[in-house]
Amino acid sequence: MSLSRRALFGAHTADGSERLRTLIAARRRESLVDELWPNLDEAATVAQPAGGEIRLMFNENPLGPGERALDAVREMFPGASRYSENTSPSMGDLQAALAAANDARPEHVLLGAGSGELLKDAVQAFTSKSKHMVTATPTYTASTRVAEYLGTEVRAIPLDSDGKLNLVAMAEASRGAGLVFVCNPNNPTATVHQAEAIAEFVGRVQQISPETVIHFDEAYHEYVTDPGYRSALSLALWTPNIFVSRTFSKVYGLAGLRIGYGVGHKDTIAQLGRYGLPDNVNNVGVAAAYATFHDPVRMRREIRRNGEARRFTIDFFRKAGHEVFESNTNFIFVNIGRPAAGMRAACQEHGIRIGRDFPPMEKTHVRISIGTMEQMQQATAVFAKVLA
Amino acid sequence: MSVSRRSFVKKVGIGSAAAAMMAYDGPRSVARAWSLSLPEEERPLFLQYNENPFGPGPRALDAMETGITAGSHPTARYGLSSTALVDAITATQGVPQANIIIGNGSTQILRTATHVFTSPAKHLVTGAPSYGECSAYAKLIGTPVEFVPVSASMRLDLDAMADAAKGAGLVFVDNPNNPTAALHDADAMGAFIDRVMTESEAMILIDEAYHDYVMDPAYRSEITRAVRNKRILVARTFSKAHGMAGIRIGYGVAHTDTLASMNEWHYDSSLNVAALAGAAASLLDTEHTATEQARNTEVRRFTVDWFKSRGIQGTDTQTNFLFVHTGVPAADFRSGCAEHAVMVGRDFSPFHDAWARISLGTMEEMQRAIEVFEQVLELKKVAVA
Repeated sequence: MSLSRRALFGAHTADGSERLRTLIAARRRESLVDELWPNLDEAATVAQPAGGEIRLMFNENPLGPGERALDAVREMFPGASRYSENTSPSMGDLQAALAAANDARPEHVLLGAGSGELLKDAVQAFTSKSKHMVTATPTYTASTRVAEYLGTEVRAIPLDSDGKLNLVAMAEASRGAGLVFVCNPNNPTATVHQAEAIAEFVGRVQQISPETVIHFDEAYHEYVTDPGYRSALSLALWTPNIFVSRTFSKVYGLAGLRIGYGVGHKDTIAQLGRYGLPDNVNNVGVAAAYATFHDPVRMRREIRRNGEARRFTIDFFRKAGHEVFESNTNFIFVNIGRPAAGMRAACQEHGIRIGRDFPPMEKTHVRISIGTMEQMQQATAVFAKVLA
Repeated sequence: MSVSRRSFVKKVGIGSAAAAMMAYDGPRSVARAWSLSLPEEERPLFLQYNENPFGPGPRALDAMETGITAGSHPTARYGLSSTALVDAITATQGVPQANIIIGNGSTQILRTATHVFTSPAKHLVTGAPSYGECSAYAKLIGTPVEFVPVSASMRLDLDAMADAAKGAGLVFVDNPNNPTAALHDADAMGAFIDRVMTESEAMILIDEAYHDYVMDPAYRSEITRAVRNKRILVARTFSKAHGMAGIRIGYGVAHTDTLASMNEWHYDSSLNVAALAGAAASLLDTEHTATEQARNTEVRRFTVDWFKSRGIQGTDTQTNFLFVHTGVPAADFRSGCAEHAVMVGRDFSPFHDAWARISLGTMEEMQRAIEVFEQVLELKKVAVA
């Protein structure tokens, strides 16, 4: 922290609790990346500080949101008492920016405290004991847990042998459903369906069950490199009963500040919004999201950086004889031919943390997030040892 | 009227200023956001949302800075730990870690409780007028609501609320009450709790949002009772005395069984790293909280005394706002004040024909505000009885 900023905030540290004597904000070498942005190669080879574990279990952005975002957060601190409707930038500003970027209007956009909130609200808004939910397995299960609490029947359709959502079977199962949850790209398999398949799926569902709401979870949208992929967002805007959820937690590196959003048909968004927690969006998260959203150069560098580290990691596993689904996200799903739990425990002993179990594939497959190239070089050395 | 107020009004024209500011839509006032672009001395006074005119204290700000930079990119991480905050609550409030639930503002605590403990078959009991979060959510999910009018003293009618608790899922008790500002003391709360415990099976949710501003020695927080009693939940917030309304953090204290039920529904990924760090530090900065309490008490006394000197009665306020009997419709008082760039509270049915809620700003702000009140209400000094 610069001298002037420390002077502004004062050098107080909380007395009393030792737990609260938080770490001094050491400028870890990774944060120098932000000063090195003009040179991407150098940025990608920043060394991992000694002693830190390598986190490859939550699909986090290993380089964070960047100093510009943090400065935006800092500027908001003195205004912490102001609701995000009244700050500058405000929730409305962020909503307007998201709308404009998608050739839509603010009524097509809904903010949430993480896209997780929208997933939960969608289940509450669109399902019931008589209107089931269709999803896949394995896929992201947050919606399923909410459905189970509410007593909504869940029909989970197995993926096909390519690790992709079985859209044909999901469309069939949507008859009479309240909600179909479509994670595209899919978590944990990292696979993606292209535009044609998605359009065909939407057509089929709307024919079979026009009242069913389709929720496309596009949390990893920005990381997709498959040229045949298109976001379902443009379909969602003008087709009733469709919405897309996105997040600032991945490519924008703001998982800790909790900003997500939904974009879709205005009636669907309005119905979803009725279930949103009032004042759900915190003002520092809004400031950071607004800053990162207006830094497309940084985002493109992150996508490229992720692509390179992802390629390196996939190549490692394939050369070692392990199948990997082609990934369009910031993680990979690897067939290691043995339970994930064992590899996870062994990696943890070496300071590498990899993904949780993803039933029903946890006996053979493991999900590994993509960190920096340096981190993946270290991690793959450990993987080689552990899988030997 | 002070020069700065006059110049503001002249700048934008009375009509447009009044029109913009009267477009009330809750804390989402467009006018407020716009006003931030004005120089400070020309901004309207916002005395309508019970906001703390200051932000967090310096130690909290320091912790928030550390929170967003310590370690490896904390703003990019999932699985944020609320341990520091929970420990701070334990240390300052004397309740065990296991009895604490954290929320995205106390709003989330109120919502979760309403969801878990009410249903179409188990109604909600609330005062009227009182804080409306629980009743709004109840309406959304199809829970019937029994609104119990406040008593003649403008306090929650605890006897009637205890009567209404029969068959209820949840009784919402805002103590001190918003908007009427008055509270019930420890004896009254104790008697009420005993009745509800004996005569019904309802949960009691006690919202102590204004706890830090209470000076009445007969008041007692029910936070320690909530730990032992499976049917009591106490909600607290960092939005008032701690000045963190915008970063969204609050907490609840209850029996572990109660929390187990709540945690099944509670969306636990809403908390951000800045709020977790700032709230912990703010709680531990008891000196700052005491200073803020003293500041508010001084401003409150000043404003209450002024109204008394003009013959206007208000409730015995133990919060950071006043509920006063202006004798004129709230809408008229509001528009009159707005023409002088002072914004006061919305209508609170059924008292909107003669009562106004006025939030407390800084001492300087209230010194300016009373000039406007005097003019708008055409007040004269009266002999104080």
